[in-house]
Amino acid sequence: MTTATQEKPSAASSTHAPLSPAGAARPPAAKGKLILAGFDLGTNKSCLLAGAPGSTDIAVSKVIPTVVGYVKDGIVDGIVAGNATILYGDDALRHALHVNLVAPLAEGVIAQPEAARDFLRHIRTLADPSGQAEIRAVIGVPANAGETAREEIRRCSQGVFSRVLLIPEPFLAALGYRDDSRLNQPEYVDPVTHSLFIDIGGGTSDLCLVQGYFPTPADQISIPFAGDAIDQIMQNELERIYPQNGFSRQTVRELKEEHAYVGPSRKPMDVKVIIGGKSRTLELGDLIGNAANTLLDKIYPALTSLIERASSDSVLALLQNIIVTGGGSQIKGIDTVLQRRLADDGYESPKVKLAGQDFKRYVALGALKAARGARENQWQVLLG
Amino acid sequence: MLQSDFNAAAAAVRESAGGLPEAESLIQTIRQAEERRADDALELAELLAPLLARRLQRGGIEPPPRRLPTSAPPAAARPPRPAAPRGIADFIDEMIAQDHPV
Repeated sequence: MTTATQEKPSAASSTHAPLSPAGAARPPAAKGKLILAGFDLGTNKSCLLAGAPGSTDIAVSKVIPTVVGYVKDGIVDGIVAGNATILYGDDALRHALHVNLVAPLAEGVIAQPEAARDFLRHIRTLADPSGQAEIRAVIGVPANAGETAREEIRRCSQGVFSRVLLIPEPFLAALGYRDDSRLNQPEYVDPVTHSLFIDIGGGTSDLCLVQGYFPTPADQISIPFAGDAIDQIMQNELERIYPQNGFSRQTVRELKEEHAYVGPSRKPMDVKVIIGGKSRTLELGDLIGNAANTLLDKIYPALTSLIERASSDSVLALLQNIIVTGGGSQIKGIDTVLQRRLADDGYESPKVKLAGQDFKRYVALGALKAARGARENQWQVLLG
Repeated sequence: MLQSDFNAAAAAVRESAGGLPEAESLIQTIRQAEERRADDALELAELLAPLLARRLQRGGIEPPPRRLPTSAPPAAARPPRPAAPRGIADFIDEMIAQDHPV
């Protein structure tokens, strides 16, 4: 491997290429400007927040679809702005007909390393258009991400970031969700001290107990079932009921984002779609509800399992502070249905809340806070 | 060391040395050195005792720390709950410790 932890080399790390001794690596542009980045590398959407050290200002704030588009051969000049050969995020999606779309991640981990490397290079240009600054990034990883997945992120970050720290996403979400200005208020329940985070992304649903210390592996559960899996179920059902419908995955995703709900059937749910160029109205109440309820059925046992593992000192407080974030928090009724199930099962006064409108940014915000709070010797140096 | 213990030890040394004069000389040297140490300790105690008494009267000395019970509970699997809010770097330290267990 090509990283060095300044703190201490590990036995696990020694299975890769030798580590550099502390301080031996010279990050690019070490003498120039330093930018700290909080980066949520998501399966479908990524979020970058960046700013200077020693400040609370956020100079760069971007949410970018995690997709790379490689422009197809033979595209007429001028169709793609600047005749670019690679497009990223929304630009790539807008030119879906002219590019080969590649998703760098699947189920929360890097599946296409070359595309991931290209995507991270693009992220770098967003954080530092001048290309001259040294960038250190705290990158969110799924709870319980294995060393192989982490190593792949480090490898793809070489030459992009000078130093990195990989931290589980649910903990970063708690850190990002924390309102630092209210920490002195006695009635404020600090999510970093007492909370249970449910982060439903595209590839994974991550649940994490946050009890005032860094979560151990036993405090976290990652389920490889999230938004993408709902899309797949919906697409399969649509194909079964309306063969040859021609819906792309993106169209199915948009249907989900607009209409998904959990709980009892909301039939009839008439949804306008275009099939073969003609407008049609389909009744999708059960189809969408069944797909989303499948997610709920996966999450609920993990949720109760974590509650049972919680310390008796904090379990009552964290039952008041169960927070759903990530794209899945936009599924209608997910908070109330989870809360009702917990109450029906006898849990003491549970309160399930939605993270709110900023759900796409909490992991990155926590990551940026971590970047600003990290000590010099805690960063992992990426050897170029 | 008690006088009787010392006499017993000296007798054992004399017996094992077979009455050699070097052994007797060594015993005498040790005895004199120990007597000097005991005299010094007594003098120090005489000097310190009044000071200690005055401080105790003013209440300026804290009681000695209580010893932990010998049957202390085993270390918990989870990190102890911190008494005060902790910095982000402390959490990162815990994360690094988990990644690189000693």
